[in-house]
Amino acid sequence: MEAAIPLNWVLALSAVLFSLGALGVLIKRNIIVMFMSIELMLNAANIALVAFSRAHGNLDGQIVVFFTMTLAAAEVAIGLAIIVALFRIRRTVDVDRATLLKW
Amino acid sequence: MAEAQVEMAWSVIKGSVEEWSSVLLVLAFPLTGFIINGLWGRRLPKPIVSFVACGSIFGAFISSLYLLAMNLALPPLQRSIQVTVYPWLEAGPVKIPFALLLDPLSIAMALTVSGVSFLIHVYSVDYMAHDEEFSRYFALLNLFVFFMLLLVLAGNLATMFIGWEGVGLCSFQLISFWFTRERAAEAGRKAFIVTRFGDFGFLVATLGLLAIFGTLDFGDIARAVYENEIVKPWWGGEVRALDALNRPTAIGLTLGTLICLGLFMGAVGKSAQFPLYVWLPDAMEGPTPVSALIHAATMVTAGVYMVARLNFLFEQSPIALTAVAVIGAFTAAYAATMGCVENDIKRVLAYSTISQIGYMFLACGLGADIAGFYHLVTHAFFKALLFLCAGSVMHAMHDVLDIRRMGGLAKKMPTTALTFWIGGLALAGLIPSGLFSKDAILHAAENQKVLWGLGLFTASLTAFYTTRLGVKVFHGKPRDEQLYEHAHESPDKMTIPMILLALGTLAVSVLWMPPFVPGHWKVLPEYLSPVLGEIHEPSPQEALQSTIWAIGAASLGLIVALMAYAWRPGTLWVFAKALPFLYRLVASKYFVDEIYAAIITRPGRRLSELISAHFDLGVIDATVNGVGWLTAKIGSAVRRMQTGFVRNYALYFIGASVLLIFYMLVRGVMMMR
Repeated sequence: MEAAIPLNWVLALSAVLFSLGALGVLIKRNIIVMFMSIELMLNAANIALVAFSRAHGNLDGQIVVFFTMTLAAAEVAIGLAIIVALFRIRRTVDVDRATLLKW
Repeated sequence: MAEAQVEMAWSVIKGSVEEWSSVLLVLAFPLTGFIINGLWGRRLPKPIVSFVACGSIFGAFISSLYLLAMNLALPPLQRSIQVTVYPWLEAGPVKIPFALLLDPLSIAMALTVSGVSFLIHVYSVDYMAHDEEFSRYFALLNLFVFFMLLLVLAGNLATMFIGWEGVGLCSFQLISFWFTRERAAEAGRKAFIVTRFGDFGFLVATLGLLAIFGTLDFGDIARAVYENEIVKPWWGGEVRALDALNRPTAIGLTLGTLICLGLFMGAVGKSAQFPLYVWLPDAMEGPTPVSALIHAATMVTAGVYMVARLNFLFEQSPIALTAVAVIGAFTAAYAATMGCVENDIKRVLAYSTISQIGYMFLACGLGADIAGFYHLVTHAFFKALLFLCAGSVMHAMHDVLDIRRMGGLAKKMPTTALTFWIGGLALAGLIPSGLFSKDAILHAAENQKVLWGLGLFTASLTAFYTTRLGVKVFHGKPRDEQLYEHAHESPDKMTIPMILLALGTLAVSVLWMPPFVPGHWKVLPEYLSPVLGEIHEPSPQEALQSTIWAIGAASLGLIVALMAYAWRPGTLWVFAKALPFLYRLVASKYFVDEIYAAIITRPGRRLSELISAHFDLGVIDATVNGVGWLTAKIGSAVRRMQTGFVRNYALYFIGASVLLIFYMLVRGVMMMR
């Protein structure tokens, strides 16, 4: 407890990770990398929640983290299923090749 | 007379539904019949459909009898009970419940309606046996009776209005029952639109009463009028009920008179009086039992019933009463003249209905509501009978209606001929019960010489055209041998209701006999007088004198008709030739249909065409299409956003989130200052 990391540092880490994740979603074409970026964003949020939980001295934030982790697990199951389905049809993981649903 | 009425003021007691639940049965029976036959009738075999239809009306009749028994067990002045079934419309101080009124008038009417309807239903089973739409016919017939009973048993004007419009709807459906025939469809529309025209007056008057009294319950309005209670009309303040009714209006008549005239306008439409009678002769396009139902039990008698029901209101307006009497007497004579030259068996009867309803209004207008109601009851029997006879004749003649092609049918169809003559002579006022009821009306009119004269004149004409009809159809030589050869008496299921109605016609005369008849029974007036006011029974000599006048007038018509059609056929052509203009005028029904077509229907149609071309297409359709066009334009402009690239969507999403967070930050900072 004595050598506690200041809250702002943790929040800054969380913000950096979140931005990296967002950037990854925006600029990557490989759907698996995009997917990993989304995981990164989720976990950046988790870090912020845990940090706040510690700063406030209660467990609310940590409980939300458990929810987020459950959600992330569900998302992985569905997301990977979609990726597999896409790969079977297109023989590629490039999302720019899957643009039928437009106009 | 005014004081006497205040003493005899009609008062209504509130009763509970639990105690009077059998009134719900009266309504539930026909409604159930309608639901069963309407929903599943097509899949049920015909015997079950007819059993359900007839059984439900019979059930209503038995329930009405039970109600009568319950009602008779009460002391005479406590026989009017209002039953509130459930609170229906409640808005602030205005409370309009779904209420039923059980009093001598409504129970007597319900008995007449359900009894006569039952016989007509039984008759219909055979009459309509070969129709493909058997179940639709009976479903509608049951619904018709249901709405009529609702109208009759209604405890306030709003509930009555449901029944009022309901019978209008059913008459439309049944008149245009064979809707594939253009004429039937047109007749149905005409009946609906013409009666709707009168309903407008009824509705406005109803709202006027609501705005003055704050209630539509018959009992409450009657009490307010009789006891001159303080009411809160729409123009503010608190005034006495009679002062509110006597409030002058911009056109010179008092408010009460206008309200009564509005109500009477509804009655004129529904009861086919001049000038809104034009739908009734055309209504003959429907199946004949339907005509019997419309003319005898349901629909046309509704107007008379309503005027009698609201007699406490009409009594307050001498002008409205005079209007009722004059319109009634005029219509009676006017319709009778048209009946004299008509050659369609059903249309003759249609004109006779208009004419007889005119008598009833004459009686109501003269304050002799009981006489009017008595005529309504007797008329229900003999007119239903006459229509069923006409249906029987049509059955035998392969749907030929023209009496010029009939003749001599009495030999082939003795039962029909006999029952027809019973009904016909009752209609002519030569045998009881028609004699007694018409006589009661004519006696009430004796002091108004003009109206009395019109009444006697009508009595002559009635006897004339009834005899003419009977002689031409049933006697003399057959004019169309081929049709005559195939004519046959109708099956038992049709003749039995006819015989029962014939017996009923004779039997209802015991309800009220003139004073000179030994026994002098007067069950009906004694039962009804707490509601409709005391009768003024004449002395036997006066009554006899009045009856002699009535019989004399009718006999004159009978003898002239016998001379002209039985003894020396063709005699009357002399008159037709001597007065060609008059004959053409009457034979063309006074060109009223043509006049209406010229001043209402055709301009109305032209106006509708103009509106349809300019307002509908130019404004309504343009607006609707414009909205659609605009949406399509916006859509095609923004659809480019949908690129199909997932990363684009992610960008929109993240960009919007960033903007939202930015906005919230800025707002937070601004608020902190």
